[in-house]
Amino acid sequence: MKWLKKLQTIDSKIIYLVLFFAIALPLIFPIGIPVEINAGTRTFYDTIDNLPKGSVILISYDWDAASAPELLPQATAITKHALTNGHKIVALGLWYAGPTFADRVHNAVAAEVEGKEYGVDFVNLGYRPGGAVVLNSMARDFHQTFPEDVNRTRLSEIPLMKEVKDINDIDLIIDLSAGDPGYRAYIEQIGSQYNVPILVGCTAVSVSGITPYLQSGNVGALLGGLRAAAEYELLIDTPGLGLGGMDAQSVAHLTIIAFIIVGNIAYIATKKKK
Amino acid sequence: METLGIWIAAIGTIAILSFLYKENPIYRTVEHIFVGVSAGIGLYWGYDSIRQNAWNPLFNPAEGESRQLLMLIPLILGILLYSRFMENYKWVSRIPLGFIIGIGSALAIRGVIGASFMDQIIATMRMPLWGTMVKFGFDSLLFVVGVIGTLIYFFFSTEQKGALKYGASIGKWTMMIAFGTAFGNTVMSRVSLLIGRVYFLLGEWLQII
Repeated sequence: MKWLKKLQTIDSKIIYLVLFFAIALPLIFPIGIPVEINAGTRTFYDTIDNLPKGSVILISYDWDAASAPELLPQATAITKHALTNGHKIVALGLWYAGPTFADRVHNAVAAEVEGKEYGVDFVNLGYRPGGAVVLNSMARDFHQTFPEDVNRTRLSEIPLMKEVKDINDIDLIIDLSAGDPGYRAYIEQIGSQYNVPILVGCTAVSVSGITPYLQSGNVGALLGGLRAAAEYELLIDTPGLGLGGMDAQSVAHLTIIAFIIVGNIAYIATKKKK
Repeated sequence: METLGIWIAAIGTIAILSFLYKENPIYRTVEHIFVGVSAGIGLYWGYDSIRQNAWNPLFNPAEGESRQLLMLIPLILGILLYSRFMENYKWVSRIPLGFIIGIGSALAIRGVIGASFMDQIIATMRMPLWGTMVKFGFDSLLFVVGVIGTLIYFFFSTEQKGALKYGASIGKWTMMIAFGTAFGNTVMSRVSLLIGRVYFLLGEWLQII
C-alpha cells in the first residue's frame, strides 16, 4: 500500500509546520482547556502564603534564555505573590544570565504591586561564578560574597541588606533551576547544613531528577515546567504566559501523540503485509 | 530602543528556526552572534566578580575598611592558571588546579554524602509500605521493589540467574519506565520552549495576541 509507506516517510518539514500551527492557533484563538491545581503547586503556594509578613525570601535565578519560556512565568508569578504578601526578596544568580531575568521580573512586577521599592522590598545581588563555593561562602556572609548589587551599590548601603547578614536571616529559599549549578548545590551546601526550607521551580525536563529530593524532604515543594507556572498564575489570579501557553501545550501534545499513533499503525500494517 | 530590541530578537528567532528547513548562512551567522554575545556577557560577569571580590578589597577598599592583603593569594593563584599557555611553565598551573580540586572535593564530600546519598537511602528505608491497615501503600511498594530491582541489575559480583535474574529484570523495566518519563518530560520542555518563541513572535513582535 503506497499511502501506508508514505505515512512512514512524512517529510520532517511538514511535521514541523503542523506543530507550528498546533501551537500558534491555540495562542491566537484560546480554547480555554481547564487547568487543575497540582498538590505540589498548592504546597508551594501555601508555603509562601503561610510565611509571616516581612519574611525574607531568597530567589536564585539559575537559568538562561533557553529555559526562559518555562521559568520566567514561574519567577513572575512567585515574585508577584511574595511582594503582594509583603515579603522581601533577595535575588541572585549562579548562572550569569540569571540576574538579567531577575531585573526583568522585578521591573514587571514592581509596577503591578503598589508601593514596592528597590532596595527596600527587593534587591538583585547579581551573579557570582563558583556554584557550590559561592553558596558555602554566602551562607556565612552575604556582604563578603556579594559586596555590591547589580547597580554597583554597596550592600551596606542597601536598607534590605542591612537586615540580611547570613543565611540565618533568610526565611525561605526558592531556587529556579535549569541544571547545574542549581537545586543540588542549594540542597547540598545549604539545605543539609542550615535550617532553611528550600523550594524548587524547574523545567519539565528536570522534574524526574528532583523528585527523589522531594520524597526525601530535602525539597519542600516543586514547580515543574510551564504547567506549574500556569497553575500558579491561576492561584494568584494573574493570567500570564503560563496559562496562555497551556492550550498550545495540550494541542501540541495531542498532535505529537497523533503522529506517533499514525506512524506506528502504518509500520505495523506494512509489517503484516510483508 | 525597546522596539529595536524586539525586532533584533524576532529576526534572530526566525533565523535560528530557519535551520529546520535546512542549514543556511543566516542560521550560522545568528548562531555565532548568539554564542559571541553569551561569551561576552560571561566575560563581563567574570571581570565584575574579580573586581568586587578581589581587586576592590585589595586596592580600592570602601571608606572605613582596611585593605584585605590576603586577597593577593587568590589573585596570584588565578593568574598562575594562565601559565598553562606557556610550554615550559605549564606545570605551575597544577598548583591553583590542586586548590580548585581540593576545595571542590571538600565541598562535595560535606554536602553530597549527606543530602544526595544518605538522605535518599534513609527516605527509601522509611517508606511506609502499609500506611494503615485499610490503605495499602501500593505506590510505595512499587518504589521499593523498583529500587531493589535496579540495585540488583547493577550487581555484578555473581552470575545473574534464578532470583537475581528476576530482580535484574524488574530493575531493567523500572529504568525503562523512568527513562520514558524523562523523555516525556523532555518533549514537554521542548514544546514549552517553542511556545515561548511563538508567543514572543505573535505577541511582542507582531502583536496579534
